[in-house]
Order: sequence, then structure tokens, then C-alpha cells
Amino acid sequence: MAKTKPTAAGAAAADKKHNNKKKGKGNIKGRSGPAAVAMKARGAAAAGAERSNPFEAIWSRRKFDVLGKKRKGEERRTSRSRSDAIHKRENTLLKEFEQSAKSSVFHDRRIGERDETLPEYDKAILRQQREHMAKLKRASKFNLSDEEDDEDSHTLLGNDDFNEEVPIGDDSDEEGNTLSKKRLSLQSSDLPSETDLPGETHGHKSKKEVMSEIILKSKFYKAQKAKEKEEDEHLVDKLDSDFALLAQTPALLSLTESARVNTHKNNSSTIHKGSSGLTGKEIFNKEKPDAYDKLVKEMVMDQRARPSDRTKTPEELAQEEKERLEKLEKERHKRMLGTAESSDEEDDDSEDGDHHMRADNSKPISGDDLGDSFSFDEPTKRKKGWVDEIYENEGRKIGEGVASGDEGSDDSGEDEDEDEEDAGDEEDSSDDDFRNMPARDWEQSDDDEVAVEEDEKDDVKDKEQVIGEKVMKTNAQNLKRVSNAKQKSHGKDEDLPFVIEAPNNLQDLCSLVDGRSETEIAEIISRIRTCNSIRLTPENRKKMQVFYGVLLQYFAVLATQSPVKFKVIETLVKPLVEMSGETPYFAAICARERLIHTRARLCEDIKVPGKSSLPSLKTLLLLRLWSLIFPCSDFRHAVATPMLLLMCEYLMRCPIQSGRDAAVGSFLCSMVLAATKESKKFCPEAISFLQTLLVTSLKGEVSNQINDQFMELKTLKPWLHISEQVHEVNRMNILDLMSMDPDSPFFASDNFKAGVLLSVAECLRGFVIIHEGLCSFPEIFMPVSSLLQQIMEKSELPALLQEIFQDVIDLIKKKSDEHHASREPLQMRKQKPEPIKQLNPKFEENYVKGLDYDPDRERARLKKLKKQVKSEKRGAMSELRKDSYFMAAVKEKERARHEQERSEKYGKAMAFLQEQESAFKCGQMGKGKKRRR
Amino acid sequence: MSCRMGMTGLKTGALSVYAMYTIFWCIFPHWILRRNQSLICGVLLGLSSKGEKDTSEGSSATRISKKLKLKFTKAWLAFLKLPLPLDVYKEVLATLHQNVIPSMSNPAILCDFLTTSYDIGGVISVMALSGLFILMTQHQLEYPKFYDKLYALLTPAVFMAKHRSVFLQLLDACLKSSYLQAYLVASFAKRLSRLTLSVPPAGALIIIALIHNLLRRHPSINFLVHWEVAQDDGVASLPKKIGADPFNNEETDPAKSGAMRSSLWEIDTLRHHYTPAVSRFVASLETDLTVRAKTMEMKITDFSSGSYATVFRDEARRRIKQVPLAFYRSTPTSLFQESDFPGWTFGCQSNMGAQASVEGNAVHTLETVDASPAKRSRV
Repeated sequence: MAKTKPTAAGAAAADKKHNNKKKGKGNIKGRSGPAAVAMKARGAAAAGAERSNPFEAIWSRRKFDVLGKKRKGEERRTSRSRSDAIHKRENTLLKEFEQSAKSSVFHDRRIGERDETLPEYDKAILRQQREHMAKLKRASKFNLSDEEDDEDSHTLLGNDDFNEEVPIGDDSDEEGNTLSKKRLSLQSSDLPSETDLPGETHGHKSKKEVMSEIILKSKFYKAQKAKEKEEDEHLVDKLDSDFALLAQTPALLSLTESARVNTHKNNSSTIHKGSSGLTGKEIFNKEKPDAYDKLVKEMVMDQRARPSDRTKTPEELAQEEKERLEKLEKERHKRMLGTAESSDEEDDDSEDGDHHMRADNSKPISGDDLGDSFSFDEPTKRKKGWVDEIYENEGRKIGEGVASGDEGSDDSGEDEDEDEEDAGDEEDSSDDDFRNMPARDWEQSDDDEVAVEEDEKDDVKDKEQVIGEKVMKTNAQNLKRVSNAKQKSHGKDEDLPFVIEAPNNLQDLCSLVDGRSETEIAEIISRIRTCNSIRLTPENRKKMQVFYGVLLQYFAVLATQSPVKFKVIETLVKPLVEMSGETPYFAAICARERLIHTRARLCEDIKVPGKSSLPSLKTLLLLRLWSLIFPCSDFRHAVATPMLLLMCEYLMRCPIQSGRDAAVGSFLCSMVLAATKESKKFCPEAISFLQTLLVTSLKGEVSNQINDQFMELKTLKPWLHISEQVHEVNRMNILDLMSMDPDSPFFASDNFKAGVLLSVAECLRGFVIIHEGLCSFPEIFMPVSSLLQQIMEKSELPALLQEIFQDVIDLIKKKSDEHHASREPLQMRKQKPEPIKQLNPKFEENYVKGLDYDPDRERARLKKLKKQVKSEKRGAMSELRKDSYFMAAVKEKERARHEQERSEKYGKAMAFLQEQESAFKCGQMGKGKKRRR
Repeated sequence: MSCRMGMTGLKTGALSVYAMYTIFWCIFPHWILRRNQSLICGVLLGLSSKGEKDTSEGSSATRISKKLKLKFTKAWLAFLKLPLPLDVYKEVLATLHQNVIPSMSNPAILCDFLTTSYDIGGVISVMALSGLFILMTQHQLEYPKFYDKLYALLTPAVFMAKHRSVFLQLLDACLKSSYLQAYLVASFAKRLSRLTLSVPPAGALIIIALIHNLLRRHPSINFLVHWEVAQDDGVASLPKKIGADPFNNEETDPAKSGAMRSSLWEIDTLRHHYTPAVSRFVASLETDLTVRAKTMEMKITDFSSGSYATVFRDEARRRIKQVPLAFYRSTPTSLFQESDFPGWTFGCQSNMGAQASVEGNAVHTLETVDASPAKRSRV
């Protein structure tokens, strides 16, 4: 018996030794142990986390405070956390263990039992509510109100009342507390009452105190302000007095006095300096003004720079030029009027004008290169008397009158001109404004211009185009007539007006230009440009844009006339190029619109079978003009790119229907070549067109080339097949070709064919040279080369052509051999250069120890996750271990309990047996004897 | 109306093939609109001239449509057996896949017609491809050496043909499978790229898009644009030099074309193309297309309808931001410099008298011009 007890107690004690150490062995029961611990733990938890039980905590005392050291885990509540854990296990693991042997489970499904947070009272309310609801639901006529229920609710209400009273009681308790405290303070008189008082007064008299504090503060601020003010005044006073002192000193005097006086005083001051021992600083101060004064004096004496003749701005130059021309025009008119009025004054004037003019002519002209516009014949022209001029004028008028009478009224150009002249004659006497003078008609057309200006530029263009086409016929007539007139007035120089208003439409321009020579036309245009220079007034921009459109139209019209006046066209090139420099946007828009228009016409032409859709001379010339105006080498240009596209489209889509077509196509190819020469762009269309042309020179038999499939689009006839031996090869003149009829027998002649072949070969040579750098050069040109070879073998070419062909073939062979030797497989993908590995260390600013500074974010994340997994795993393992310890302890307890019970039973049984035996041995005497004792 | 006219025409027996085609053309939409109308049924039966009109009226709608389909098929077969003129033939091919095949009872019957027209070559086979494609994909037609034929179809003419849009879409569709052999795809890519040397800019755009798709679908042929350099040893680090292009454009069998040893130099050449759109577009092949996740297939439909018109419009409608002008030290005074145009003359003044005897016949036109045209100067 005595043996067994300690063991059981020992087991229990081992379990709970940390908090039950002092308890007596006898008190401890196996079962009550954990419960007691749980109670304690709960008690500790209930006591509040803020008030930790010092008996539960373990801490290590620090000897030093280390700055920035993290103080974590210094104070550990081992016992408490352990008890918490045990408690948790009792609620979960133990329950499970107890349930494990049982097949049935008890579920408490009473209302409110699930929610552990609800207090008992709330649970009761919930239950009652439920009951009430159920009763209300029961719709029976025997549903009588239960007295008991009412009573219940009453009691509940009573409870409520009681609860409500609780806070009052609390208050009273608090009051009691304070009272007792007071009492305590009163009782313990040793303690200083002040310590308690502020706490109390703070609570009660807070408002008053705050007010007083505020008042105090405001007073304090006022005082401070007053003090500051006083100080400032003091300072000012002091400064004043100081200044007064300073003002007496010579240094300052020298500064304040004027330079002149100072120079006089200079000597004296130096003397003064020597005598009075001034500080170095003062000396410096004194000497500096001297140098300054000297400078000032020098400056006063200096002659002021005269404003020199500044270089004139372009605007001014234009203005001057315009004024000069206007003056000249005025004089001319005056002289012209001389016959009608014949007053001395005018004569004088005109004489003056002559003088002026001569002076003008002799004077070198500055600025714009308009000097060249005054051709040599002008001075001689001027020298003619005005009488002659008038006579000439009259003669011309009569002649024109006759001509116009023949032509009828519809040819307006010359008539207008005449009218102008007449008007000028009549009105000059009264009118002073000579600028508006020569254009009575133009004032009317000015209105038109306004209307035009309001429209879009494109519209202007379209309109003009329409007009242009209308005018074209009449214009042609005009030109014819003019040529007649020219013959009539051959040799006579017609003088040009100096001030020319910019023409608004083609008719006006034609009337101006008709019958003039190229130099005169150039002169006219240059004068129009100077008179209406954009730099003069902003309105001129509109005028010049209209004029530009008109000029372009005139250019196009000239190109359509049957005998092409190429020289006139060429004279227009320079002004057009220059003018598009002035208004680039307008020029680009014009060109674009024309291109679009041309393309539309191409699309229409292609649909008509049998019609030659290759460009007309007009288009060719315009294309060439634009490729002069705009840079074709640009990667992408508003005009040049569509233009190149259009040219290539011509080459690709237009069938060759005559020898003329072949020649035009070949010329177009050379234009493409000229356009792409600079930038070395690759035009597959041009090369395949040239190839086609070469094929046409082979009679009939077309070799097995892939590119031939293209040619089903083009009618393949041996246009260029040379049948007979040609001795000489001449270069072709495109202007002639264009003017010829497509059916003309010239196109069947061998000379023509040889000429075209020559141009084709030259063009090919150009392309070969341009494209030598292309990667697939051999693939592009090898078929061409073999074709050339075939032609040389099969047809009888003139020696010159053969030479050129051979040249081209050799060139192609040489270049493609080079390519074959050096060509490497493509490596189009851009390879990123691999950086050399750097070994220098990397430093982190503001390094924090725990952070991961791995630049590879993925790796850092992985690392973090691994770490987490590891810690989780460790935690889980320790939890499991503790679980098993706990279970072992529980089982051990159980076992110990069983053991104890068994041993108790055994003891009892043994005691009983022993007693019996002893009784038997002593013959039922022992007991009694014992008792008796 | 036209049906009735056709009927009368048929009865007179003077119906031309054209008229017949128009009839067929008319029948189809009517049939779709009023499927159960016995009137059309009657027309069809009449056309096939074996009509039992009375029975058809009593039968149910499904039976009617079935019968209609049968008759329709028979009529078409009979029609296609006729010797058709070329334009009707083309028209038929162009509309067959849209209008006829869906409403036939057994479209596989058309197989003979389509295969023979596919074998003809040129534009006609291009047009037959759409019908054939439907038969192959939806009606389990097996066509031997299909890809060989398709390969042979790729000629410059295709890129100027009228129906190129459909054809190019089909081409892309046919090459969509990633189970095609590498040599086949490489041959197609190389052949297409060779075509860029002679096709219009719009065609070049499509070809680049097609090759882009091919390269993306088949990472194994990316060596065509990028030859991996072996990094191991210094000797092999230089890329292997291929002199002449091993690719043989004339070879009709894609297996023997030698494309597997070649490289797409033509694409590189396109960087210098005169159309900015094309030369810009080449850059799309520079991205690594073997990484499928980072790249997208190009939609052929975006490009397949391109033509000179679209390219020109894009360029001409572009907003004018700035207009640079050609710079000249001295402004040119003449349009044509003879040095720029070898093989041509433009002179008006030179050797007036030296008119070649050849132009004697043209002289009368020239004599009216007083100052101008000069004839050709000797070279």
C-alpha cells in the first residue's frame, strides 16, 4: 500500500511539476491535475494579457543596452505557452482520443450552443424567442396565452432591470473607491497630498485651467512682441548713429561725391590716407572708385558707335526690288501718255525717269539675283523714243484687231490684253495708282480669286484642271495665232510691264506669255515673283499659290501641244523648282492630287483593250519635274514615294502594244533608275520590264524562264527583233518618239529597235551598278545575263550594241561571282551581346539583414518559399512530437489509474485474506483480543 | 423571269452555254429563298427533262429537297460535261465552292472536274483550288501530290491574278499544319521568297506575311533566316559560306529543290525595296519566331486583298507632315540631264540637218515644228 501511492503521485507530479510543486502529495489526484492546470491557464488568460504573471515568465537580464539591437524573445513565458498548448490539446486531441473508442457521438444542438461567444443569458433569450415564434405560428383556435410564459418574460424583464441597475452599482463602487482613496489619503497624512491633487484637479477644473493657460500664453506673446519691437527700435537708433559716424569718414565721402569732384580730391585723399592710419579695407574702398571713375571718364570721352548699315533682310530686299520695278513701270506709262497730253512737265518727268532708269541699270543690284533678268537688249530697247513705242503699239493693236476679227470672240486672251492696254491709255491720266492700273479686268477677276481662296486648295487644283482642259483647245488656237502674230511682229521687241499682277487662271497667264520668247517668259515669271513675293505681305502667299498652280498647269498644257515647245517648258523648270521651295506644302498637295488623278486615268485606260496606257509625254515630263523638285532618295516622302509607285505600276501593268510603248517603257525605266540612283532602292518592276523588252527582241521562241509567266499579261510580239544588219546605232530622242503616231512605220524600223535596245542595255547597266550590293544580286541578274547572251547569239546586233551587251554581261558575271564567293547564310535575328561576367562586389545601400537582395526575383521567391516550407515542417514536427508526448502522458495516467485501482483492490483482497488467515490461526480470538485492546 | 425564259430557251433547244450558266446562277438564290416551292422543283425537273411533276407535289418537304438536290447535282454534272468556253469555265470555278457545293447531294462527284481543272495549271488551277480545298477538308478527298501541284502554282502571275486573295488565303490554310515535313515547308518558303524579286509591292507584303507564318509554325526551318553559329571552336565560328544558291527554282519537286541548304537572301534584299511599307515589314522577320509564346501569327486576310491601289492609296493619303525639297547648289534649268539618261537624247537644237534617212516618212510631221526637234545624235 505504501509503495504504490508514491509512484502514482510521482507520475502526476512529473506531469505537472512546474506549477504544482508545492502541493501535497495526498492532494493530487491523477484526474484533477490537468484540469487544475487548465483552470489556471484560463485564469491567467482571463486575468488579461496586459498583466503578465511574473511567475510564468522567464527573462534574462540585460547588462548593456546595445543600440539598434533587436530585442526579441528576451522575455519568454514558457510555462504559460506550455499550459496553453496543453489546454488546446485537451480540447482537441484528448476529445478525439476519448471519442476514438466510441461509436456514437453526442451533438449538442440546443439553440445557441454552437456559438461559444454567446453568454448564457443571450442563449436563454434566443431560446425564448424561438419558442414564442413557434407559438405564434401555431394557428389554432385553442391557442391560449400561457400564464407561465408571461411570467417567464416578466422574470426576464426583471432580469433586465436588474442588469440595468448594475452600472449604477458600479458607479457607486467607483465612488466608493475614490472615497476610500480620499479617506486613505486623509488617513495617511505622511504622504504628500500634492501628488494626489493634480490628478484630481485635472479631472475637475480642466476648463478653468485651460482658459487661464490661454490667457497666460497670449500675455506672454504680447510681451514678447513688445520686446522685439523695442529691440528693433534700438537697433535702428544704433544704426543711425553709426551711419552718422561713418558719413564723417572720408572713405564714404569719396564714394558719395561725384566723379569729377573726386578726381580733384584725389590727391588730397591720398595724402589723407597716408596721414590717417586707415585700415586696409578702407584703403581698398578708396582706391577702387578711382579706377572706376577713370573708366567712366574714358567712356564719356569715347565716341559713341554709329549704327552701321545692317544687312538687309530678304523682305526688305524684295520690297526694294518691287519699288524699283514699280517706279520703272510708272515712268514707262508716263512716257506712253506723253503723246496724248504732251505737257512739258511730263516730258521732264519722263526725262527724269530715263535718268533714273539709267542710273538703276548702271547700279549693281544687290540681293536677289534678279540682275540677270535684265537682259542685254533691254537698255537698247529703252533707248528707243517713246514715239516709236507708241507707233509700235498702235500697229500691233491694229494687227491684233484684224486677227481677233477673224477668230471671233471666243479667243479671249489677246482681246483682254488689248482691253487692258486701252484701259491703261484712257485712265492713266487720272489714275495715280499705277499698280492697279493695267488690270481693269483683273479687278473683276480678283473677286473670283477671293472665291477661290475660300475653297480648299485641292479644289483650286481641280477647278484649275477643269479650266485648263477647257482652255486647252482655245489655247492651242491662241498659240497658233500667236505664232502668226509673231511672224508678223517679227523682229520687233515688245516691252514687258514691270509690275505684273500674278495671273489667277491659265487664260491670264497665256495672255501674258503668248508670243514671247523663252527669255521673255522667264523674265515675266521672275517679275511676277518679285512683285508678289511672299515675303512682302501674307496675302501674297495665296496669290503665289494660285500662280504656282497656274504655272504647273501651263507646264502640263505645253507638254500636250502637238509640236512640243520643249525650250519653253525648260524655262519653266527653274521658277517652278524655286517656287515650290517657297510653298512646299502647296507644291506637295498639287503634285499629289495630280498623281492621284493620273493613277485614276491609268486604271481607266488599262480597262480599254487596245489602248496604250503607258504615260503620255505630259505625264512623263511632270513625273520628271517632281523627281527634280522632291528628293526621291527619301525613305518615305509625301510625293516621291507615290510617284515611284505610280511609275512602277505603269511598268508592271501596262501591256506593250506597239514599238512606241516599248520605247516609252524603256524611257520610264531610265527615269526610275534616275530616281532610285541615289538611294539604291530596289525596283523589281523596272528590271522585269527590261527583261520583257529583251524577250521581245527574241523572235517568237521564249526560253524556259519563270519570269515568262508575267508576260502573259503583256502582249508579246517581237517588237524589238532586229531582222537586218544595222550599221549604226543612234540614241533616241524621246520627244520625237512621243510626238509620233504609234502606227508610224518608223517603229518597225531596225534603227529604232537598235536605239531602244541601246537604251535598255544602258539602263540595265545602271541597275546592275546600283544593285551590286544586294544580297540576291545573282538571282536577280543572272536570268538577264543569259537572256542577253541569247540575244547576242540569235540576232544580228550592230557592233556597238554587241559591245555594250557584252559589257553588261561581263559586269553581271563579275559581280555575281563576287557574291558567290562572299555570300553567307542569313543571320537576321538580332543577337544580344553577352555581357562579360563581372566579379566586382555589389554593395547595397541601407542594407537590412533579413531582406533578400537576390537580383533574380524568381530565385529569391523560391528561396523564401523553401524557407517557409522548412519552418512549417519543423513546426509541424514539434507539434506532432508534443502531441505524442501528450498522448503518452494521458495514456500513462490512465495506466497509472488502473494500476492504482488494481493495487487497491489487491491490497484490499490481501488484507481481507490476511485477516482471515490470522483469525483462523488464532482461532477467532485475535480480533476480539485486538479490539479489546 | 429568267427561269421561264430559260425554260423556253431549253424547249427551243437554242440555248447557249452562257444562257445556261445564267440560269444556273439564277436558280440557286431562288432555291435558297423558297426551298419548298414546287414551282422551282418543276423547273428543275423540267430542266433535267425526266420530270414526273405530279408525284413531287404530294411528297413531303424533306423528300422534295432531297430530290431537288439530286436533280440539282445531276444538272450541274451534265452542265460541266459540256465543252465550256474559257470565261464561263473561270466563272464556274470561281463560284463553285460558294454556290454549288453546299447544295449538292454528293459533292465528291465534282472531284473529277476539279482535279482535271487543277491539273491544267496557271490561273485555272489557282481557281480550282478553292473547290478542291473544300472537298479535301470536308469530304475526305485524298489528292496525291497535292503539295507538289501547289508548289508548281507559285508563279509571279499568281500575284497579279484577279482571284489572288482567295488563293493566298487557301495557300496559308494548306500550309497551316505543323505536321508538314520541314523540307516541304522550306521549299515553299524559298520559292515564295524568290518570287519577291519579281512581284509588285503588295505581293511582297503578302509573301513576307506568309513566310512569317511558316517560320512560326515550323521552328525547324528557321535556319532559313538565321543560321546558328556554332560557338564551340574558333574555326567553325565563321558561318559556312554558301556560294551559289543551292536552291533550284526550276525544280518542280519540292523534295529536290535544295531549299534545306539555302537561305532567304531575297528577303534581305527587300530591305532595299522602294516601297517603305515593304522594307519596314521585313523587320517583322527579325524577331525570334521560334518562341511561340511571344509571337503572333499574321492574318493573311489583312494583306491578301492588297494591290497597287491599296499601297498607292496608303502612301498618297498619308498626312503631309513635312515636305523636304531636293537641294541644289544651283537650281537646275533643264528637265533631263543627258548624263542621267544614257541612251537618250533630248536636244532640240543639235544637228538639225542630220536627219537620218530612216525618218523620211516621219519628216512631214516634224517639219511643221520650227525650232525643235532634233534628231538623234551619234553615239
